[in-house]
Amino acid sequence: MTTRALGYASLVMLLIATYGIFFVARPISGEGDAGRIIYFHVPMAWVAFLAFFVVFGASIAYLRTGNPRWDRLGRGSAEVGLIFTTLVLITGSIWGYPIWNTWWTWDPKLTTTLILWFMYLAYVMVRAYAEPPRGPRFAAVVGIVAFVDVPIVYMSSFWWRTLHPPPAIGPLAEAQPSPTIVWILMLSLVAFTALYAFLVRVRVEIEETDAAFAMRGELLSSARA
Amino acid sequence: MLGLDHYAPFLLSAFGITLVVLVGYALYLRSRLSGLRRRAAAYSGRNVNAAAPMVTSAQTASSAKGPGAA
Repeated sequence: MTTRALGYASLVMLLIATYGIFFVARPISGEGDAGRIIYFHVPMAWVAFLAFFVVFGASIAYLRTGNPRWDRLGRGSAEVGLIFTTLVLITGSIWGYPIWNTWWTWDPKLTTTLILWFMYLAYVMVRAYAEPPRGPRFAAVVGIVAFVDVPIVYMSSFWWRTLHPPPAIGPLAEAQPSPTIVWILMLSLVAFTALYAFLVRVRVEIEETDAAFAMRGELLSSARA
Repeated sequence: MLGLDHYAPFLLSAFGITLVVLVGYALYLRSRLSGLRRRAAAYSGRNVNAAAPMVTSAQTASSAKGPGAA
């Protein structure tokens, strides 16, 4: 599938998911319409986890092979994952105000997610400012170490009983939500995953074009010298 | 039917921020990619014709009429 086709496919799926969120889903009891935020808050959290798993895998592959393609994939995925984590924190905070009566609390889930955000911000900064070949190597190490926080974020609502609700769906889910909730959540999850794949592909394409351009410039300047 | 309750401002602001950030990021990536492609194309084009002097469209128009034409 080409990048353009993937972009259109994710757009169509996101439009269908938006229709489901606003017109099909019913307000969640006790949360009212603020509860509809979970239909994009949860899928974005999933996409962020997926993005950081890709960074983890690409970092290991880069350290083992030294192939710059893995570095480009890791860099692209980390940037997109950081965007989604930012949105998870913002939308979670907006959901929290009417439900918890506070924009932010130092709940383990929220705190570990904020730590995750800072760690991948560090990855993006290391990759942006440290010169190659040290930059990609340092970033790969950060990408591996930072991933340790992902299972901690996921498990935090089981390990520490806190304000944040445990996962609504998945193998460790305690409650059984209605089929409508599950369907809209799954649809939204697929749509956001497609959007993630599209954004990473474009981001990697930018890196590859930039690398090809830099290499051509180097070759021309060495030929002239 | 979109019958939202008194929590609607929270839902709509969360949705709006998500939309603005994602569309903004996608547009930023698109402009960066097209800018890079344009730059790479211009750069390679210039070097293919590196031996020939750069001629602007204004110069081409005036030289077609001859050096004395104003």
